[in-house]
Amino acid sequence: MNATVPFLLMLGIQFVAGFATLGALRIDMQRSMAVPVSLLVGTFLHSLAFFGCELLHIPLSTQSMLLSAVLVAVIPHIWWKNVTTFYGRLLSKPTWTLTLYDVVTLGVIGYVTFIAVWASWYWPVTPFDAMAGIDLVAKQTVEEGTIVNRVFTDPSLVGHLSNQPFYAPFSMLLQVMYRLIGFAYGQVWVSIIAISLGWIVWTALRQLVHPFIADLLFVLYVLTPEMLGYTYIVQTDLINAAYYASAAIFLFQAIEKKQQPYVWLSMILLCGACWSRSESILLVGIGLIGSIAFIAKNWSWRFALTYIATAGLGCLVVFGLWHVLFFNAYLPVHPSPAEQIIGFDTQRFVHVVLSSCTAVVLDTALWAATFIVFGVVVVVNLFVKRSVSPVLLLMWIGTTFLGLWIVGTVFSAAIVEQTIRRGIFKVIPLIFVYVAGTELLQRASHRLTQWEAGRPS
Amino acid sequence: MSERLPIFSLRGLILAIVMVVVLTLLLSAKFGDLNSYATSYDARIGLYGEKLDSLNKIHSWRSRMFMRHVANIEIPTYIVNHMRPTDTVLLPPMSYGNRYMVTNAIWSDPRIFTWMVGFHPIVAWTDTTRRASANAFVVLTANQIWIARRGGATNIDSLLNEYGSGQ
Repeated sequence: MNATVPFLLMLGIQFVAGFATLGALRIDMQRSMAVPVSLLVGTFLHSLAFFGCELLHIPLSTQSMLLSAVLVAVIPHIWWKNVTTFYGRLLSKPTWTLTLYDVVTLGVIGYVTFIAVWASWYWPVTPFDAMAGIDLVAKQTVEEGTIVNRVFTDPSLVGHLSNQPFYAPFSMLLQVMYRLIGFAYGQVWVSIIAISLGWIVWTALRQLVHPFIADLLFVLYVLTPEMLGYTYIVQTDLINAAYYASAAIFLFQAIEKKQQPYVWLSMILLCGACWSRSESILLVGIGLIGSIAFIAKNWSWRFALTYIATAGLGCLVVFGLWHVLFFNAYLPVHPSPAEQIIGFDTQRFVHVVLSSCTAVVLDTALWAATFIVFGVVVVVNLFVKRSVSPVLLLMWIGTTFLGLWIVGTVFSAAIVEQTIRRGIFKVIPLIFVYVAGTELLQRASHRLTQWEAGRPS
Repeated sequence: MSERLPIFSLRGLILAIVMVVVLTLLLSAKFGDLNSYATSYDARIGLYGEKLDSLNKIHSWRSRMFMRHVANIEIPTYIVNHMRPTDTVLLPPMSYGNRYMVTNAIWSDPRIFTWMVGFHPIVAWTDTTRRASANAFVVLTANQIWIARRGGATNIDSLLNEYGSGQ
């Protein structure tokens, strides 16, 4: 079956769902940012609705997949006035803002993107975890029309499933969708999500600093070695990073721009993070608690507490849909998380912290100059400018590490060289946006703008 | 940054040239192994860029599976093609497969075996309760594979001992 038409149809409906949701939330957003964000929001809401079909015992097929997409695209149009205002802004006459060096940068990044999309389409699923888990379940779901399939009942697999087939369902559902529309190996969505995240990071950087500096940081972000490989390889980590990091970026922008609707956008994205990796519920919890004071300072304690409670509850509901409701009321077998929790031990925690620093963070083959740039900018900014701002982003970077270390300590299945290594994907976009937001780079950006415009600085 | 910069200017051109130099250095100057941007770009993007034409000539999805997974799909495919209707195949432990393969013998995991070739009557080596029900056994040598059954030329007990050794 030719996948192009159903693929474009699905992508189009997901875009509409995302745009309409942003409109319904009365989000005033630059069009260049609204495009990738809409895709992330639309994809997440679509996967939730598609999962709803499974809960209602509606067979998972191309029809139910497209109908669930239409449903999530239609619902936000209830707030018609808000949505049409948003569409009006979206359809306004575009203005050309790219400069010559932007074109050079986008040329190189465009080539990288082309290869990533091609590789995700061309190669079959490769990682062990995906073959033994999400894609094993997805393949059989496409065949049987239900997630409660032979994978969980066949005698050859019973007792040998380990925890991979029980991973949070977002990636698995996307594998089902993309296999249903005709992609032989599914996984094309991986590069689409990577493009959306990259686009968000690039636009966020351009909003903060001179486009030349933004381009440089963006190139370093895209070429970060460990992440580059996962722009076309199926795993749960990159999609998780896309939702988690975008949520933190929009929470930061909400406060910077004093845009309350952005915090609700960040809530949706945080729910997407919890839908894509199980341990995110812990990381999101710590991050939300850390954000209370920032939100309260900008608006009020009442609003901050309302937001934290609503976002926390939303994430818990999304988490519970799979891990509680589906495991207990639908699946014939489920993992026993209690067996994997080994309790908190200070000595182990210290070991996890040290080994994650020495074996993962300091490994330049994985992250190239990312952590060096981050460290240098933090230190220089602290000593020269006496500032660590933007503190909210620094707090999210810190709490993400803290969360990953706790996960590495408490769960026996979490391996520093694997779980924490790929967990760091969440931090990489935040590091580049943080660096761009520092006073040091702001000053450099100002000087470069003055120079380019031919004004004395 | 809210200020709109000119699309084309002499200073913009200078910045574009700087950008070209930076990108060239970043993507092609390896400085030994110091520049991991260049090495990772070569391995993850450059390699495919160079081979794009020849790779695109391989149209069959199945061929691409074989290219990627090599023996990990060849062995399960051989097994299911040579199984008899009454066979229940015992998958050997990974350590046994590793002795004859360049990469890890992940096909010996029942989940990977199922992912590669679908559901068939198989028993995992670690499935101690069902292991006794197996009546067909995979034999590997340096360049051969076959399915052995009790009463045939292969001594099954020796084979099982070999399975168990080196775990």
